[in-house]
Amino acid sequence: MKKIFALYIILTACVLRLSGQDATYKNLEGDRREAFKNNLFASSEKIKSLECNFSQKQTLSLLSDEMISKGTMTYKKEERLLWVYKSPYEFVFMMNNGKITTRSDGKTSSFDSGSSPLMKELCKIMVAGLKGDTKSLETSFNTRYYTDGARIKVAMIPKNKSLASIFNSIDLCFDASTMLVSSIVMDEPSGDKTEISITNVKINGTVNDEVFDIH
Amino acid sequence: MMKYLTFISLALFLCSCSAARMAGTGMPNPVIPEIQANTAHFRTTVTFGSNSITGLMAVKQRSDLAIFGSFTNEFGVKGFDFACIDGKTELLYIMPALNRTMVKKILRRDISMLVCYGIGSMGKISSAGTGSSPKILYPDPSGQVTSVKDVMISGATSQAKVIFALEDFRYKLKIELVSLSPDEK
Repeated sequence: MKKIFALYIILTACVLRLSGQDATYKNLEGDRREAFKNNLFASSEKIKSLECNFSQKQTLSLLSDEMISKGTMTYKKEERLLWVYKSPYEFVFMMNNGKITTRSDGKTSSFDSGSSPLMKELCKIMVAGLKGDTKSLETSFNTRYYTDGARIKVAMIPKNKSLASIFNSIDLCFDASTMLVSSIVMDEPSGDKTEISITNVKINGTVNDEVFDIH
Repeated sequence: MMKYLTFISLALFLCSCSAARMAGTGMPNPVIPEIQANTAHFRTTVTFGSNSITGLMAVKQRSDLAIFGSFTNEFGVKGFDFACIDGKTELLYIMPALNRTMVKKILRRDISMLVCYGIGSMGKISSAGTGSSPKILYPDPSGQVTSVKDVMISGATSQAKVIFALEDFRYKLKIELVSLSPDEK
């Protein structure tokens, strides 16, 4: 009997590990999933601008080391995203009308987003994640929805090879009551993991166009 | 007699070949106290011709003296992982966009040299004092180690930060490392 119980425990642990989900999360299916998706999409449609703080924790598997970065993000319709890292050093990333601009160490450089498919895709994921527009990501990812009651997790597995060579999976976590994103977790094939926690989210505040004027 | 002369010539030839490997001597890595106790983090810019990638590089030496390093961009996407064991450098991971035989070959050689002559001299550069003029770390000013041509490595300090720069003139590759100060970490 003890052996059967031990086997049951091992099998359960294996199944949970294979599915990549915490025991507290349950699969969201059928009507409940569709209702959540529709609610999320409806609230994303109302977002004209968004400002937030973020904290990014990167776990390096090779060195068993963690690197923490902090900063702010600003989004304004249509598809304008400003990502400002304030620590450990200042780094600015901006996407504006298909143009990507970065500023590092006082040097600014710009290029067309089409010349960097990775950055373009990363921007798309961030904008969709911040807004909650998970429907727009379904062309590039196989998505599954889970909930623990308070939060809803959207687990995304890349469909195409080029994205799959960079990310094993990307999880977007939303607050079930506010429908706002609280974290984005990216798992890489190298074993590294990047977790971006979003706080102090401000929706539809005044964001001047000058914010996106970087030289 | 001829047999011995042939043997000695062959041995000398092989010795001269191994000198060209330089950073890959097969000898254990030296102890680098600055990366043994804690992981060192560097703000990094890798420039290849007119393109450049910025990010963070973390470097650590294990107790067996093997040196491991990881370069990621600001968003956390990994560029490459490397290991330098007994003076020989291997790329353990490289992002698909950089995964080209030639790029890997150049990176392997230049990272090896940067670890050997740059990061290996961290203590010496730190003690040189803030604001001192850049010190040439490779080619060896004494002229003893110059087996790799067209590469220059320099080290300097600025506001308690250590700055290393490798310039590979042949392949137009430049790697610049700027250590993060304790409050930045």
